[in-house]
Amino acid sequence: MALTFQFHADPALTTPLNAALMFIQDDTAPQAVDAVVYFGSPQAANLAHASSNPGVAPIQISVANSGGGIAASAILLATSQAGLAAATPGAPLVLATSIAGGAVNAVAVHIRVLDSAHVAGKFANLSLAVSSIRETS
Amino acid sequence: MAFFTGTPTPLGLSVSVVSAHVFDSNVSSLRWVVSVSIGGADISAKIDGRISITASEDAARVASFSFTPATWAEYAGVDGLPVVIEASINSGAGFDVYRLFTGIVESKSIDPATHLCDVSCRDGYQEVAAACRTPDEVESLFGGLAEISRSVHDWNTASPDPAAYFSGLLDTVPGACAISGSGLWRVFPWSIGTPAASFSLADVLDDSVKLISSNRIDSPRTVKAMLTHRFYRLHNVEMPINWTAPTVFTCFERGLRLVQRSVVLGAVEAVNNWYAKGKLTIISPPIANHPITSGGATVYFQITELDSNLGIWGLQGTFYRRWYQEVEVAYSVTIDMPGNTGREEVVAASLSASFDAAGWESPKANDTPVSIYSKNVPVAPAGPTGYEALSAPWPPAGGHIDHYGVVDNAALEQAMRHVLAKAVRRAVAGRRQQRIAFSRPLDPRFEIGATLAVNALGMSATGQVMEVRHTLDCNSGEAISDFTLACPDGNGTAAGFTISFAPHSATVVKSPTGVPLQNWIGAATDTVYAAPPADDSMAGWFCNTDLLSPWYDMNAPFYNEQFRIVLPEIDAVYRDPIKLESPVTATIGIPNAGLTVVF
Repeated sequence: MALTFQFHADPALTTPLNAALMFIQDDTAPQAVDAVVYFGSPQAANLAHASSNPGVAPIQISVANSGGGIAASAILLATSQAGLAAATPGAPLVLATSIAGGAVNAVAVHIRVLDSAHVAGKFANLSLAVSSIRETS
Repeated sequence: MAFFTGTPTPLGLSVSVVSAHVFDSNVSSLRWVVSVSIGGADISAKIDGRISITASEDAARVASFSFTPATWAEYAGVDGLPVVIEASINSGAGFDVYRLFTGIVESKSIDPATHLCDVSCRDGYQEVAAACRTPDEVESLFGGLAEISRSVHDWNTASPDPAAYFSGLLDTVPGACAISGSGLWRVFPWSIGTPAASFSLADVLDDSVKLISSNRIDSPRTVKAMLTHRFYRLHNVEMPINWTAPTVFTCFERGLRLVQRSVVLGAVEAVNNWYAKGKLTIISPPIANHPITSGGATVYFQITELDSNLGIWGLQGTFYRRWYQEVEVAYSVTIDMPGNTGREEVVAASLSASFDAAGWESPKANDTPVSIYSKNVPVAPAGPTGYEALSAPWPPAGGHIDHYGVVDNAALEQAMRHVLAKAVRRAVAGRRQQRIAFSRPLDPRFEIGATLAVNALGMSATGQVMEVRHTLDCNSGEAISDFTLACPDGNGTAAGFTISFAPHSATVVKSPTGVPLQNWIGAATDTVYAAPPADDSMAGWFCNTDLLSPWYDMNAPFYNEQFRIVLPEIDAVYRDPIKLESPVTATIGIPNAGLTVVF
């Protein structure tokens, strides 16, 4: 069985995200740009736990930086639009200890990008990484 | 139970830092490079001719381009592969990268002579709804903007049709859905806020600005939202009865027999449509030698035990009648439009109570007015209401209940909101058909839903992007973005409505008048001769004076001996189906583009 929990483009969890999300930042007067993706599984009967300590440790989404380019601190994560205002730049998003499958249990991951330290160019050094999970069905 | 451990696929974040000056109007030239990948393989160098990308509200974003595959296998293998198109723009003032399209290959064809392959691509707009398996999944796609009413637009559990359910809900959204160039599902309201950019004549291509007015079909005079609610009004009336047999003295002096219980109960059973509430009270004649003084002598009217068991001294109780009335209430809101067609468009839905009213009206078979017991009646544990044998609901005595079946007031209001939302969307969509179209050099900054302002050639408006098309010609170098802005004449900044809804309520006062039960003694000197009462106003015990009685009058009317119960008819106003109109107060919001034109 392969993992079915992943990022999706829609709240109904019908479209897995395979390509990188693009965010536009102005080089002189950057504005925060928000997007929302959905983490979950379309399989309603499935359940995900953190594999490090199932049922106890939370599942986390962190900003991974492969080096160079944009700093992880340019990214804010929250589970709601309002939560972005209080999010710590670059900090991981701590989810529940278990996430059930199905669209009704999809976790909205709000992403805010604000980078004011770069000249024009395209940077692809960042990604959202999910901690190792154990998926049961 | 199976389990699998691993790390979900990371989500890449691509940050394109762009120059604000690339799109300045004083830029003399743009250089652009397009990047096209199919299945992750970069085919940019193989692109030939024109690339076209079109995004519209409530539709899939489509792209088309041509490329020359290196091998037949490359051509054959592109079916269904993911496609990403990005544009890099350099104006000399800066360098920008934008994602224009994320989707999959929809169809392809190839010219065997030139090996040029035409590819059509589409994002997954239709598939998103079609892939949903539950109503909750579909509803989540609207981000709370849809007015959901399972009462009038329900998920078909037996044969799920998510696309139809999606379409029905989309009709209630005061906004639009689309998938962004990055491939993310979006739902956005129809609103006109502060423009993200304002374009003057210097910013647009010559002769590209057009004001497009609404078609007649989009401009009805009114759009009416109407919810027809059919339900049952369950009525109840009660009629007390109280009858006392002729006195012993009367019986003696007129030679009357004791009234037989079977005759009275037969009359009770014969009453149509009315039923005894609970058990009637039957008063038996007391067993005794009743002394009667007549002419100075005392005689005795003897009532034996047999007489007591078979006779009746009095009857008390209550008759009731329950019936249903079909009621149809039409709730409506009318939205005035500036159209000149005189046509009224109606968005209608209906809601009917599912209730076996006929079964409710019919009494249960065991609802008999005669008690099982004649003596030593067991004491009931609780005071009976008399309606225990009847199916619920039980309207109050003389009152009524408007029975909606499984629908409650909240569901009724939500159904009205659903219908009104459809009408509002229809009205706003019609107004949004007033559009301004213009073109400018490639400008992928603005997605559909963005607010832009135009002030050129004497025309000024702030509208919402409802369609955008990017065309990049790799041969000529021409790169153009065509924008279509919705510029409705409205009354605010956003589409929507507020509603003040109150379910129909009625005060129904029924005052049926019964015919009192009396004793009618015929063939007597005091029997009514002239102007006798109407038959329906005579009820009770009918008998005749014995010919040996001094009261006997052979010329007086004689009655057929009987016990007669006359209960009132139900007025037609409480019985016949009724239709009611119930206008609903609502405030409709339509975004205003502030269009002004100076000729």
